Amino acid sequence: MTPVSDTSLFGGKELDAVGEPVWAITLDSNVVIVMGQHREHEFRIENDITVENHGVGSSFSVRYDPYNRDDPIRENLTELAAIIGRTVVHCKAYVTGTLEIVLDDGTVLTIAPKDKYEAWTYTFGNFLLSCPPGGFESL
Amino acid sequence: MASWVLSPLYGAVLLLALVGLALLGLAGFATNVGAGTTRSVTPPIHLLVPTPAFSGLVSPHIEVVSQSDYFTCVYPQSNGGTQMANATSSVICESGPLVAGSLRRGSSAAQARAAAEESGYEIPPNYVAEPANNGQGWVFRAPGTTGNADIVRVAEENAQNPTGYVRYYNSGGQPLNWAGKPGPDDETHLPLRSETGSTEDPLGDDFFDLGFTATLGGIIYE
Repeated sequence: MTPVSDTSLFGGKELDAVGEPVWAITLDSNVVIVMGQHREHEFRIENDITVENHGVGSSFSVRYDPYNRDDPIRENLTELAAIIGRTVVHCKAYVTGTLEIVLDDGTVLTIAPKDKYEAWTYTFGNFLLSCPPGGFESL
Repeated sequence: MASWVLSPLYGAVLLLALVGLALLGLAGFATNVGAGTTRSVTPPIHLLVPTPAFSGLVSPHIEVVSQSDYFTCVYPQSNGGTQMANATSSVICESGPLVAGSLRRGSSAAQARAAAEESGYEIPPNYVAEPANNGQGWVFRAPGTTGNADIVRVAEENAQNPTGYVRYYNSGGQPLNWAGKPGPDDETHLPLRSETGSTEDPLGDDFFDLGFTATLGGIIYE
């Protein structure tokens, strides 16, 4: 059975990280979420991450900007670490540029596109999908 | 008859016409404009011919472009496959004209390389080009490598980013700034059109010789 193409998604389908566990979160110049037992899926996040879980009624925003000279921003990183070990049930890159990752405990991570810069990049082997400024539809 | 040949006016016209034809022949001008099968990549040198008295008889300027500056057209390719980053014989002529420092949609790998280098961003000659999966540029990587380590990405222009940009990554997959160090967004999206107009390599000649190691010295939660 051929999966139905979802025109709201870039490429018409979800990203290959579906079914993979969240393996690690690395902080370097960005927040990097690593998935898969062999760390084969990588999401390099360059924008705020909205984390919501309607089941438990939690919602917060992860902000990370270590290069802010006056006041480096590191907000809710410890809270984000709670997603480690969870499994990805949906992983959607919308054509608008929004990345949405849904985990098996109901947690939803959302990263919006940026106007002038890339907001996130997903890497899986040689598949490297970066969100262009303004999203994929910005021509 | 003799007075016609010796006329200074006609003599000058004849001399200029001969010089112009010789230059056009050297530049392969007929091939360039005739069949549309080649394209100049570098900005042409404009040889100005001061001929106000013969306006209309001789072109006000002649483009002198060496043969090595031409790429051969190929048919537009699909998004699949790869081509060598230095494949100077594979310009897709249906795409937009190459303008130093900008990269239009539908570019070829060679155009992306040229646009980056015109803006002063070096791409190692042995790097292999792959079409960007988002359909808006090219990824250059060392042959045989995978992932985002040590790659150079060249993004085409779009509505939000009118010039396009280059992103360098170190061995840890971190985007780098002009100095070869990780940095904030505005420093790691290197604009194709230099604001200063400088063509110097902002990363320095030794950028790829420094052997940057992963600077993943941050916190790791596992």
